[in-house]
This record gives sequence, structure tokens and C-alpha cells, in this order.
Amino acid sequence: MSSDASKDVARGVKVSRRKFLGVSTAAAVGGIVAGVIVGAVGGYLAGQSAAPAKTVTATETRTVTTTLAPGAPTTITQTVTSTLTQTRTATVTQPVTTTVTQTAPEARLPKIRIGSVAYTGMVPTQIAYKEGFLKAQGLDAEVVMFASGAAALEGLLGGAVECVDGASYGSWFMSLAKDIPLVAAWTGLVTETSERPDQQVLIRRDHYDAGIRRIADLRGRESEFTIGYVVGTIREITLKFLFEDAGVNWGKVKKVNLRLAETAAAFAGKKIDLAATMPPFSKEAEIKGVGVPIANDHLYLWDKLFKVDFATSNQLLFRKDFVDSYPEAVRRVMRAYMQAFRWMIKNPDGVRRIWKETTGLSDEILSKIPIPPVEEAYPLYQLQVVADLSYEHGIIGKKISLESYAFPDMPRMRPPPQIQPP
Amino acid sequence: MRAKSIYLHNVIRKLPSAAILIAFLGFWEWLAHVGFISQQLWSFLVPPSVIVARLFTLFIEGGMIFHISATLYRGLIGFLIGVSVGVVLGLMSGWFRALDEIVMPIFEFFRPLPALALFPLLLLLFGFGDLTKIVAVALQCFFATLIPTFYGVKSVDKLLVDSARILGARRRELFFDVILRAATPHICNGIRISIGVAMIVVTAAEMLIYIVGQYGLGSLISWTEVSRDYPTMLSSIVVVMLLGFFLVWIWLRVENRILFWVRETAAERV
Repeated sequence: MSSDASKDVARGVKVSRRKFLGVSTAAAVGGIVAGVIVGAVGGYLAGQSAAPAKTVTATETRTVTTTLAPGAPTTITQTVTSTLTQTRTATVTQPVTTTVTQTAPEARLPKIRIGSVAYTGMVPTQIAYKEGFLKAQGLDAEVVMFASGAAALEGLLGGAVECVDGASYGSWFMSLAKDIPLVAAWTGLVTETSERPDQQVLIRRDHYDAGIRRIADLRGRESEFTIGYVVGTIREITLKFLFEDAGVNWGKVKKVNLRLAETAAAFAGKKIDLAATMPPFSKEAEIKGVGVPIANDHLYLWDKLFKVDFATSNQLLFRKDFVDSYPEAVRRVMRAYMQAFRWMIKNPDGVRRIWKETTGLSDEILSKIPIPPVEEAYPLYQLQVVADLSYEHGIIGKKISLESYAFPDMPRMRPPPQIQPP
Repeated sequence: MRAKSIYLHNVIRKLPSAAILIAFLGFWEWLAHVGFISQQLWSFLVPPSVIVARLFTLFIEGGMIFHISATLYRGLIGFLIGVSVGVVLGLMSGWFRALDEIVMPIFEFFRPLPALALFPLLLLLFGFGDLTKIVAVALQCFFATLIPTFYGVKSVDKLLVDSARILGARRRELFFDVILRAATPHICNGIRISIGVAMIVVTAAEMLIYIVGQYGLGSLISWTEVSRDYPTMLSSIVVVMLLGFFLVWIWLRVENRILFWVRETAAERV
């Protein structure tokens, strides 16, 4: 625009109606065109993330055997459902063993991207992938590494991955409480026991040397201490119970969000007094002499609730729409993981090799981490108890029912006395 | 009448961008209503209507004012420190050749390093409190202001400097009345960029390094992300955007006053 025209504008030349209409029309058309372009691109991207990149067909024959125990009802109707909702019923009477054989039609298997994190507990994902167990199940699988379980969950919700290994049940509960339907599938339990603790609370070495050897020793001094942990995980639940049962006011303890890999450095720099962490970072802090384990918060909770010497925190999480569309794929992933767990038991050196590749930590640290045991059944009913407690204590904002969001084809552990299975 | 026409003209100039923004928001709302954005896939893309409703709730009941205040406090202190040191050092480096030759190569070497990459180190040095965030903001604002200031001084027309000398200007008068004035547009540009940088860094710092329960927009975004409270998370992001926009808008008004003597074309006027 020339300087004369500028001056005319500055003097307040009247804007013509034609100019007004022209510019308004151009703006409206521009907005509509932009909206159509953005919509087309968005629709394309939505289609890409929802659609399977590749379809593989397979035929499965599944045999279901039911043995009726003495005293069981004389007549039982068992329904077997295939992937395409074909059903066949069988009526059996006790005491017999009956076999129902069903051949499922060809199953569509999409590409599976599994989100994982570099913690030692997530090594089955690496084993299932690197040792070919996923491929042997006919799956076109890929492992995508994330910085944390929370980031992996974001990837699941954004369609970057179809499955997440590394998000704790705390994250699962929080998602369900916000009406985000994620389905848990079992892989084989990464059990922690008192002999093989996983989730631990460590205290800084100088505090330990000064006499703080238990959580209860913090009583009356809560506000002096800072604990670092990954916020928004099951630690929200387990630490609250651990501290409050020890008579320590959990609300007064300063809490900071701490990435697990920073545990040792944060201790060394005296930025935190306590850390709720897990292997290999807990072991790293211990070996470097900066932290000392004083409690196992997760084991504590399970012992308190169920009088058992084990706890579990992990499962595979899938979006519900994926499970509804590809249940056979979920079954095969579960089978591959179970094979990976059995391989772990037989190949401890192989496990440590994969740990080293995944975490980059030294042999000295990794050699001190015991190989976890395997459990065939999923503790659904136990987790329901924990979920109910989490709601009662305000950790999640809504009462949730896990049965609807647990993959059906999973053996369950015996329910605790507090809960009756549906 | 004249003022009304100027106002109407300015409104018309902003119509295309407003139309595009409205079309985008309308498309987003439509995606949610037709089910593209479901509770499963992309559930974090809460529709704009829900975001607006949540914003009202957060302001009235949710303590959003405290979060804004906390973020502004950390960002403002870091900004003031970083900009002050950056401007002073930039002027000195541009004015004194010795300082230029010794110091500027070092600063140019470190300039590309983002403060966010230093977070783990800053965390270990300064801990989880406000100091870490303020230092991170100050560092980034320092570089964002130092470089434009330095080059502002260096780019002063030599003719102006020579003319002033010939007219008998002393060194002090030369610096304040010629160099500083000529470099002021560059300095103001650097400060404007630093405002945006400060908002980005303070929000990111609060997201990565926070004490549970502490106020701050970044902390709020981080906590609502892990607790899957996506309406609050997106509302907080909108507040960050609006805050940054508002701060830049204020600065532009201040800049217009400072630089009243700079002639601008109508096409450049905000």
C-alpha cells in the first residue's frame, strides 16, 4: 500500500460497503476451505490410525475341557463363543469330563505395536519380541519404547500403539474412573515377593545412618522429608497405606515427581530424602551407597489386604475398541508373553543380557536383581479390592468395576474373601 | 466518525484469521459430535465446548487464579533477571571490542542449547523448588535478549556515529543518545521474543519438576495428564496460550510508546 493510501486510511476514509462485503466473503470462503482441508487431513489420519496396516488370516482350533467337581450342579450349560460370535452349547452332567471342540473361522490379525518402558519388569516384552514368540503366534509386532508408563498410555490413547506393557494398575484405575475404557490382558505375573522385592521405598544413606530405619521413624517429622516417585501410578495407593498405617501423616510429607532413572542422582545430590522406586534404579542407588531400602510398599499393601507374600502391578492394556475388533490378536499376544515368561525362568543369563541392552546399566547392578517368578492366573478380584479402597480413600474419583474391563479369556486367581466373583 | 472507520478497518483486517480460528474450532466440535473423537481413541481431544465450560469452573471454583499467579511469579522473576543481564551484557559486548572478542564467541557456542535440555542438571543443582524454574527461564531469556541487543549495537549506522562525533558528542553521549537509541528496536524485539520463551520454559519446567500440590499451570497440566482429567488439562493449556498472548499484547502497547519515534507503515501496525 502506498504512503498516500496509508495517509488516507489514517484520515479515516469511509470503508465502502463493497469492500466490506468482499473481505467478509473472502474470509468466510477461506475459513470453509481451511476447514474442509483440515477435515480431510484429519479424517485420513483417523482412518490410518484405526485401520490395521496389515491383515493376516489364520485358523484356530480351540478345545475347551470342563471337569465337574463332585457336588457341582448336575446340569451345566457352557457357552463357547468364537471370534465371530458363533455359539455352541453343551449340556453336561456330573461327574464327567466333557470336551467341546470348536474350530474358529479365520481370524484377522492386525499389526500390533506394543508400548513399553525400560524397566527390568518389562523385559518380557523384549523377550517376546526378540526371541520370536510374537512372530511365532502369527503376529506382525513391533515394540515402541516410551520414557514412562504414563507416556506409553498417552500413545495408546493417541493410536500410536495398540497395547501397553508398563502402565501400572493405578494408571488403569485412573483411566477407568475417567470413563476411558481400557481392557487388561494377562501375560504371566511379574510377581514380587519378600525375597524378590520390586517396588521399594529407599531412604537416603545419611538419614539411615542417623537412625531412620523404618517408615514409623518419620513420625512427627513428616514435613522435614521429601519423597520422590512417579506421580499418578499405583504408588499413590501403596505409599498412602504404608505411611498412614505406620502412623506417619502422608499429607505432610513433601512429594515430588521423580523419574526413576534420576533416583540415584537425586539421592547423591541430596534433593530428596526418600524415593519410591523399583529395579534397576533402586539397586543402582543401593550399590552406589546413596540409598537404603527400608520398606516394600506394594508387598505391604497386598499382605495387609490378602495375607499373601506376593504382589503384582502389571498387565497389558488395550483400548476396548481394539479388543472388541481383534480378540484373537489379544489372545495370541497373551500366549506369546506367557512363553516369554517361561523362557525367562530357564534363561537367566539371557534375561540379564536383554536388561543390559534395554537399560544400559552395569553387570554389577543387573546381576543383583533376581529373575521374577511366573504366575498363570490374573489377580482380578484382588485388584478389585484395591480399586474399591482407592475410591474410598479418594485416590480415584469414581467406583469402578474391573470385571467388564478384564479380557475374558484369562484364568483368574481365587477371589479373596472380601469379594465374590460375578 | 474517523475513529469509528479506523476501528472498523482494523476489525475487517482481523476477520480472515478469526474466521479460520472459528472454522477450526467448529470442525473440532463436529468431530466430537460425530464420534471421530471417542472415549477411546483420541479421548484427550475434548471438544471446545467442554473446555470452555471447564474453564469457567476452574476460575470460579478450581483455584485457577492461584495457578496463574504461581506461574507468572516464576516466569516474571526469571524473565526480569534474564532480560536485564542479557540487555546489559549485550550493550557492553557491542560497545567494548575486548568484551566482544572474549565473551561473545562463548555465548554463541552455548546459545543453541535449550534450557529444557539442562533440566536434569538444574534439578540436581537447585532442587525441586522455584529456583530451578526461575534459573531455567532466566537462562533462556538471557540468550533471547543478549543476541538481538548485541547485534542491535553492532548494526548502528556508522554515519550516525561519525556525525555525532564530528558534532562533538562525548563517549557517554554517543552511547546513550546514538547507540542505545538506534539499538532500542532490536532490544525491544528481543524482549518480545523473551516473553514467549519465558512462558514456554516456565510451563515446561513446572511440568517436569514439580512438587505434588504445588500451584503452577505446568504442574496442573502434568497432574491432570496422569489422572486423565483431559478437560482440565486442555483448559490449562488454553490458559497458558491466552496468558502468553496477553503478555505479548501488553508489551506491544509498551513498545509502541517506547518506539514512538520509529516510523512504521500501516501494514506493520498491530
